[in-house]
Amino acid sequence: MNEKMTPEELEKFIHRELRGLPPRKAPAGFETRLQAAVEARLALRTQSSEQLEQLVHRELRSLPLRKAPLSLESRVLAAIEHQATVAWYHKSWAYWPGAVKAAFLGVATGVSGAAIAAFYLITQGADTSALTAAAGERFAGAAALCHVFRWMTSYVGETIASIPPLWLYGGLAFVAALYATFFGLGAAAYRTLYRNN
Amino acid sequence: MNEDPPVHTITPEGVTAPPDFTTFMRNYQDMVYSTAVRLIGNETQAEDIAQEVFIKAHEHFDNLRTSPSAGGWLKTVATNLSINHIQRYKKRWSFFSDLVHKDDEGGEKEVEFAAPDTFFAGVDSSERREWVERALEKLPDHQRIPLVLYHFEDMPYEDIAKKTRVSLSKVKTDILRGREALAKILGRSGASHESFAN
Repeated sequence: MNEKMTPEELEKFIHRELRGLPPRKAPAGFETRLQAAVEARLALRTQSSEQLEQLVHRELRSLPLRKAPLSLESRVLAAIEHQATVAWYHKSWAYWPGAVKAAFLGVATGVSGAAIAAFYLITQGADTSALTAAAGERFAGAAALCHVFRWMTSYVGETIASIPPLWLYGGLAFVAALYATFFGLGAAAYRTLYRNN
Repeated sequence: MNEDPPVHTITPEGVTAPPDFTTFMRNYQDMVYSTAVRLIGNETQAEDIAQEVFIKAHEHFDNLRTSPSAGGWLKTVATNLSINHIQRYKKRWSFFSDLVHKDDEGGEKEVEFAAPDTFFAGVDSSERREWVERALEKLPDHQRIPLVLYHFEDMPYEDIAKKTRVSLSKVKTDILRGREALAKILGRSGASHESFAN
């Protein structure tokens, strides 16, 4: 080895020499021994996994039933009693009386039929002015409500338009930041206070 | 939509129907509560689920009181309601919970669990049961639920995958990891240890 070699040159020299070595031949019987070792490891793993399954199964199946809390019975009976006092129209469809179900189906079918017929007549170019006038007379209150709603939306629109965009976007960003902070604080509080208990 | 399983109403000979709903409830309340609490891992929520199961049972009581499969029906409803509850709860709180379970990170690990014969050497049987119950509660939902369905309900892997809406391979991995975690927790409280390569 040249004594004047720098550390970098030495590194390169060693690297080149080592990388230049030809692959060594495995000793006789190596492959068979390797195969046997792999199989033995697999067998051990299967055996331990089966043992673990049996152990857990036995332990879990030997557990007796957990005793239901004493409050359960009274809670169930109270809930059933409460349900019995709730009026049918506060319950889901399945609990409605048969006559009401039939009446509802009849009305729903009638309304759907009328809607389809009206849609058909309008698309066929039927004169609807008489109908609109009659409806306008009958639903004058609703028309006034519509008018108030239209006035309110135009007023809000004008007000928003008069605010400088910088203020508007700044305000929106502030609200978004507050919302994100609230969400983050909630998540941190849940993780630290609730999940760790 | 009514998702309750159908009730079989053929009463075999020798089976006496309970006279009233309270007696019926007393006969099955421990079983229903056990199913819910082992799946959910929370006593308060399990009581809510058990209450819901019995309210449903009351709606079908005319059929259930004479049915030989009333127990199975109650167990199925309790299992379904518990799984639905966990899935709803998980969706709602997923942001707030840890998104990565450190236990699930890959790589081969050396699993230690006590030898079966010495697992609870010298431990009182009631204390031992208490340990197993507590260890089960400590498992994360995604390990406890398939483990309970497999070992308590004798449900095959395929059915567990369908019920919990996860892949078959994940169910198998979760059950295996669940067993290992259970063995680890129990091993910490057990006696002598034996090491098994995983």
